[in-house]
Amino acid sequence: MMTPLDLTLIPEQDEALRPEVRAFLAQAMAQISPAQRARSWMGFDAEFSQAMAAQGWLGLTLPTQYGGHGRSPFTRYVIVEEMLNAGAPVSAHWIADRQSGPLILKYGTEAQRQFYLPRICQGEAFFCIGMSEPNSGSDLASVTTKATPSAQGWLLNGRKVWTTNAFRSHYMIALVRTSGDSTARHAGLSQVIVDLSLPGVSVKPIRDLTGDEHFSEVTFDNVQLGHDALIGQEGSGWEQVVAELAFERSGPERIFSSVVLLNTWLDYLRQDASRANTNARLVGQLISHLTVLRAMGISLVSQLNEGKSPVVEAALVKDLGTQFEQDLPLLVGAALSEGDSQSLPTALYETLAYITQISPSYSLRGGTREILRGMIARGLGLR
Amino acid sequence: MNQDVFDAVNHLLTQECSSATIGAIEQGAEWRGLWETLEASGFADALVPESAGGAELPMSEALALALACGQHALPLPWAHTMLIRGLLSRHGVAIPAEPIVVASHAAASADGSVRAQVPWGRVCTQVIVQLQGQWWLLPTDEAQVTELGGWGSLDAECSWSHWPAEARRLPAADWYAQSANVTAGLIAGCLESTFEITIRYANERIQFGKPISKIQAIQQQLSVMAEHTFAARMAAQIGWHHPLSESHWQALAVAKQRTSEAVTVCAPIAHAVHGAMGFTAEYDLHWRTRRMHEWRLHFGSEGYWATQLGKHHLAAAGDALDLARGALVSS
Repeated sequence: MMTPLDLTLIPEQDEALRPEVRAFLAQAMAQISPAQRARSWMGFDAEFSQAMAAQGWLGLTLPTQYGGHGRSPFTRYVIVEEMLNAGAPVSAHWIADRQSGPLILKYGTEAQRQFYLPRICQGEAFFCIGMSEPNSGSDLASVTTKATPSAQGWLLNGRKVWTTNAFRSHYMIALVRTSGDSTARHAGLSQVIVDLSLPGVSVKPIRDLTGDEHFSEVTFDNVQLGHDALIGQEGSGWEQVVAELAFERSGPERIFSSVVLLNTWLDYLRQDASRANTNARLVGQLISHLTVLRAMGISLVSQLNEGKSPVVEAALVKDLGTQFEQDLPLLVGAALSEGDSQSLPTALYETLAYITQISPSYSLRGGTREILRGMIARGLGLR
Repeated sequence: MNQDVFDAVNHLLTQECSSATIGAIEQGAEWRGLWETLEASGFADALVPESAGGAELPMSEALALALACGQHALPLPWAHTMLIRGLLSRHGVAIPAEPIVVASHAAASADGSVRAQVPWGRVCTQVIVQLQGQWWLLPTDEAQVTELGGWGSLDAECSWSHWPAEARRLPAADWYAQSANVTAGLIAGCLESTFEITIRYANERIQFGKPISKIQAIQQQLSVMAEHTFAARMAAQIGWHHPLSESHWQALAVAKQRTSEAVTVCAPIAHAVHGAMGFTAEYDLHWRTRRMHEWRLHFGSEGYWATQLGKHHLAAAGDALDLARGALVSS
């Protein structure tokens, strides 16, 4: 059985950062429409990322010797949560800041740390994650992209797909096979850092059903990597990826992806007393859920802070959180059809339309709903 | 939560609160013997200040008692009595013996008679009612107590043909919301034990040549049940986070809203996994699922509290994050 999550409060000194972040956002986001904000952590703006870096808000948890800020995961939680609530375009630095940086700190050599971490903290090195392949989605251990040892390091061949931001990132951390074949499953997998400007790398953006381009197909054709491309131990790729996924699944982005719609709708409801009255129950239910989901997420942050790896608990919170994110556009849409579809403000209509379209991705990225529920079942001792 | 309190109460209830005991009390057997055993443990005074002879536990620790009562589906309002004693003592009101609960609704007639709908009304001796904006403590010894609700329900309608001589005026307090929060703690605990027996059953029941817990469709349902059980536990912790002296209705409201909603997800899954066996009077599941459905409606269902919260949120300023932070910000 799993242990229940303990209620944990964010320390006062981290809560105290909120006014400063909000003041920054009020200025930086003034010209950005709700429908654009609704892109949430898929909104890519390198300048915005660099402005955040200038505030000292990237690499918050990384040690100062590598250009980081030596703050706790709670500090990062507060900054990230405020960014998501405002719909700030945080995508450019998102993956580097959330997981690539911590991964390099944990498993990287001293030289790798000194090279990559300061660049991440300055918003100059954007990362993507090479996990899925054309024939390896939920069955991640079946990846066939191969890094073969060579005199100069590693020779990389294969293909990654659905890679978010590959066409506008500098580096990919890829899960590849360094020995054995796909029947070896978890053994023989390693993680390598790929400089996406190298010869033999070709990146093709894939348009999604909202008309946006954020994910991509990446082909490696005899890409020569140095010895220092390997991150962590050869053959330990699987356990490194699993640890990384605990970071990927435990953040507020698994709760707040559609919150811009909720905020836009709240503004609309408050304009009219009878409209507010009619929808009070749904508003109360949504905020109640958000209150509890936040508390669950913050409890995970505190576990990560204590050096634990709450893999199953993170899967549980992510599944529940993405359900909330996906229910939100359906419920708001149903409430809107009760008579105001004629006079809906454009901003609200466009935000609702976008969130409705994008919402299936919430329970695909970072592990599908069915995979997460399988992990929970394993945590319960059922598998 | 205080683990020592939980372990002690859990141990006591494991001995004293069998399914047979629950069934007997539901069917009208004398409950005072069990109550005296519980009273002798002293936990009903856990929230009473030390100066008044209590243990003065913080709310966050006293949650342990509510969770344990919920886990065992204890058929007596022990957790309610603990909380009400804490409030009464803070208002300088002498604490009456035996179980006390708050009525969910009460009305007085011109002739002095009073009728009240009372959750736990069959197993209490003191009822707190609100009449014309004033709060009163009424003993039930002169009241007519009529069963209310489905089979085995402990709810009752209490009616007094004349105003009881021992009625005592109480200070205003959020008796209703506090009772809702106690119920949230009970539900959170009860969901946990319901989940445990459901997992156990799924591991034991063989169909298609294997335990049904090995079937993916069952595993996915149990995972969902785990999620809502975890959420309910967190919601109860939010409700019980603030000191009793700094009552925070928004936290209480979230606790009751979220735990009640979890009942609507988890009870159906528990029954689906158990099949026909879980639907029998003999098997242990219904002590919990029947009671949780009652608790869900006690002191405001998920819909009631969602509406209260929503009205508050829409009248206030603030975006979704501000509003969601509200329940944990000290008042």
